[in-house]
Amino acid sequence: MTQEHPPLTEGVYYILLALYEVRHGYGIMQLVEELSNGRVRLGAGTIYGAIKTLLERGWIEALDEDGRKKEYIITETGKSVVDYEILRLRELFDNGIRITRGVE
Amino acid sequence: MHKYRLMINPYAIEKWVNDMACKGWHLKKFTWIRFTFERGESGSYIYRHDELERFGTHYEEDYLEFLKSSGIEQVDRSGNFVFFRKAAQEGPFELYTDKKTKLGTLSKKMTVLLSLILLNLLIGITGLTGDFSERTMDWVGFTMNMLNLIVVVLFSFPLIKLIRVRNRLKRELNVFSD
Repeated sequence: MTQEHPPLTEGVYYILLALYEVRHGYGIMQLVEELSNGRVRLGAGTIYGAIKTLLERGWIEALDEDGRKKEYIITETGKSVVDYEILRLRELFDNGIRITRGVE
Repeated sequence: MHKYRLMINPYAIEKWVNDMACKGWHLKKFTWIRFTFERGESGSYIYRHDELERFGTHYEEDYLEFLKSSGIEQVDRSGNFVFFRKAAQEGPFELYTDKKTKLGTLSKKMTVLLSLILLNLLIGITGLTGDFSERTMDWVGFTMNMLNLIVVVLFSFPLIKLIRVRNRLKRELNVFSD
């Protein structure tokens, strides 16, 4: 596996996962907390900064404003980044298990 | 109730505002030095300070709207300094949970503080050298230059604190990503 992208931060990874369905910022915050059983609580400022960066990179896109809350969805480019990250995490996981548990 | 504090280190001010809230005094208004508190339930809100990046832009409205939709209440604003709050019963409340943003913000504040310190140091020392080289003492000039040096000392303490916080965050980033 060649290094296509640097590792994502936990926050960005979860934000991208949350946007497989259309969500606004607060929705992202709630889902991430729920997915991680309360372990990951992203600050609103951090989410807003990440959304701006992800929009610039074309990994997510903003949908037409529904009322006052802006909503976002992941793009195909964003999905390919997540797929790559999953492979990277699997490699980390597999190597961790193999070495610590002596599993071949 | 009014209290006066110089907002040099916003992190220290944020801690102070939260300590006041724990004693039942909630921030209502503030300027650079004047803070107005009103009586309320002890510890019912958590307060956070933020500094808007670009004053009066579309980004700013968008960001404030985003925070509002996240259930965060804007308490008051003075220039690009803003105080927000959220009910404590809704759980821990932080605006920024990633170290990189915190480091970026700290670096900006440190640059501003360091510029002010160097500017005052330069004016103070240049002025004092001139004051002592004159045959008759210029007491007004001397007082002004001493004030420059007092500002240098006053601003150096918060700068040292910010450097310590930044170094701690950097050390953590060497091992942990966020």
